[in-house]
Amino acid sequence: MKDPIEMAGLFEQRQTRRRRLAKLSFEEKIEIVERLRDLRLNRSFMRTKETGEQFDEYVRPEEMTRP
Amino acid sequence: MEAEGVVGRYAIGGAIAATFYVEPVSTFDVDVFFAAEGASDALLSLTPLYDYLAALGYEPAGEAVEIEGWPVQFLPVFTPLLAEALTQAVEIRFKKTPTRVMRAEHLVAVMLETGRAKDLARVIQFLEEGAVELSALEGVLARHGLAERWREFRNRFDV
Repeated sequence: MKDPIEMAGLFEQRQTRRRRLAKLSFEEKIEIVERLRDLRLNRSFMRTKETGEQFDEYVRPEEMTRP
Repeated sequence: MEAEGVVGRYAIGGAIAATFYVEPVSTFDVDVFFAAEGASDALLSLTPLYDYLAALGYEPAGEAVEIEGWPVQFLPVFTPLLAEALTQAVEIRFKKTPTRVMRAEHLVAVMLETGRAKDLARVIQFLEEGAVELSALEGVLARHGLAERWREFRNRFDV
């Protein structure tokens, strides 16, 4: 069993982070969304590389779910 | 596009619009809702739009059109809830470009209506972050037959 006080602290930290993120400007938020998207696409790219498939351009979201 | 009459009034909805009000939401595309004025067939209404974008070099990619690195989905509005959301959407600026996003209350109503797990989680986010005006939200929900769903949601999630 994890320490409930530590867990409550983590929860509070998460809430604080969420509130801070919500207060960013729309432009800043969209930049984060773009980075998240690119990170996920890059991960997908690395995974497909490991499986031997060749992708030399944009990997679409539907391709990310492929084994 | 709106100014040139290619589409009627438009507004951004979905996760990108949600990002305007709450913390950034991970998404792969942009949902643009537009008034399908006088159209009885959504496919017919999309043809001039796709032609217009193709002339600018933006080609269709699946159900979207690839615009400046973003797959953009153009969704004609046919339900009264979305039509109201479009009419009451707020003018904002992204960098220096004027655009429009749906109001938080309409986004929440749409999420409640759609009802997927991620939508309901996002509704909680809007409530927790105080992004909606409750009386305005309840008005929207009452007008569009979602009051009962709202009651169930509040009971279920204790909000």
